This record gives sequence, C-alpha cells and structure tokens, in this order.
Amino acid sequence: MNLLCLRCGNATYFETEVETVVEVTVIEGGIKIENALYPDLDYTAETLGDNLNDLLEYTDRQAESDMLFDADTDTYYSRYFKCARCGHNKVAPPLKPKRPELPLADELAQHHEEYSHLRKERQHYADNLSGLREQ
Amino acid sequence: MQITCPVCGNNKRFLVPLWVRVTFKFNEDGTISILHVRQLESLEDKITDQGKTSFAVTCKECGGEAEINLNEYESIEQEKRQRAVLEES
Repeated sequence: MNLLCLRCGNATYFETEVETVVEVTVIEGGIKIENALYPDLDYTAETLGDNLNDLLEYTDRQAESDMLFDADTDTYYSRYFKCARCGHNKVAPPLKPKRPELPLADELAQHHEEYSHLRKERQHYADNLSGLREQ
Repeated sequence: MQITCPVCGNNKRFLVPLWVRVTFKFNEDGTISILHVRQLESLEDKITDQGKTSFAVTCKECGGEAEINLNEYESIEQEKRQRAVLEES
C-alpha cells in the first residue's frame, strides 16, 4: 500500500511514531543505551519494523469512520502519518474502490453492454496467435 | 543507580520500551525502507518514573520486572543507621 500527502502529493516519504524496545546496560552508576541484541536477532530493529508494518496494515484496513475528514479535499485521512517532504499531517491511505448503492440486478443491467464488449475482446485474444502461444 | 532483577539476580542488562519517530519510504518494489529514527522520550526520565507509569523495565535474561534503586548509597546508609539504633538499644 502507499500513502498520499493531501498538500504536496508526495506518495513516497512519510513519518510516524511507533514503539520499540532498547537495551539498557548499567555501568558504574550510569546507564548505556543500545539496540537489544540476541545471538541471531536485533530485537530493537525487529520490533521497530514489525510495529511499522502493523500500523501500515491497520491503516490499510481502517474504516473511514475511524479516520479524520478533510472538508477541503473531501478526503478521509489517517491520524498516524505525516508527510516527510512538506510536514503536512493530512496523509490519506489509497482510495478504496466503492460500489454504487443500487441493487445488483440494476448494476448488472447497467453494465451489460460493457461486459459483452469485454467478452468479445477476450474471445479475440483467445483466437489470436499470441494468446494461443501462451496457452 | 542500581537495577536488579528479583527473579534471576541479573543486574546488568535490561529492556525498556521506547517511542520513536520513524521516517520511511515506499520503494518501487513494494517494500519499505527506514531512513531515520529519532528518540521521542528521555530514557533517564522513564527509568526514574518507574512505578508511576504503566511501562516496565524488564530483565533481558528472564523477562521479569526489574527493581530500580536510584540511590544505592542511601539504602546502605539507612542500613547503617538502623544497625546503630539496634546496637544502642
């Protein structure tokens, strides 16, 4: 999934806040902070990556009712991300396709002609030499 | 300062949860890369606030909840004072 900044259109660079775990070593009355390393695991990096992935997956599945609404652009945006390019805090998850609110029979009838055209196109590819080669 | 695990006796290595700000990017192949990580909290403050908030310093060896003694010399002095009082009486 990607995100989109509602101000500058950036779809690549973002920032967010996540929780990770670090190691504290006690040394002569003070403390030293490092990544928590185990023989075959950097627990700090692992936790950071997992929590970031979880947040992205959650945002992808999030319902509009859980998001904030920007009236200027008529768009719902996530409360967890910020654009790393322009600093804007209105970052939207990708648009999810919506079905019009009408009965399925009406929807099928409305697109009958388009579907017939699609079938013809498919038949054309099936009869075409390049299509046969792929099979 | 002294941190100890009452379960296994470890007094060296502990784990502390920490909030960070992550700057990341979406790569063209669908993966993400982390560009920068910035600490959002003071660990020193978190450790001294142990017990006042819901987070816990845990033992790296056994996962037990650690005990923090901010002034180990104070407890030694207190022991000495208690001993002196007992000896006098």
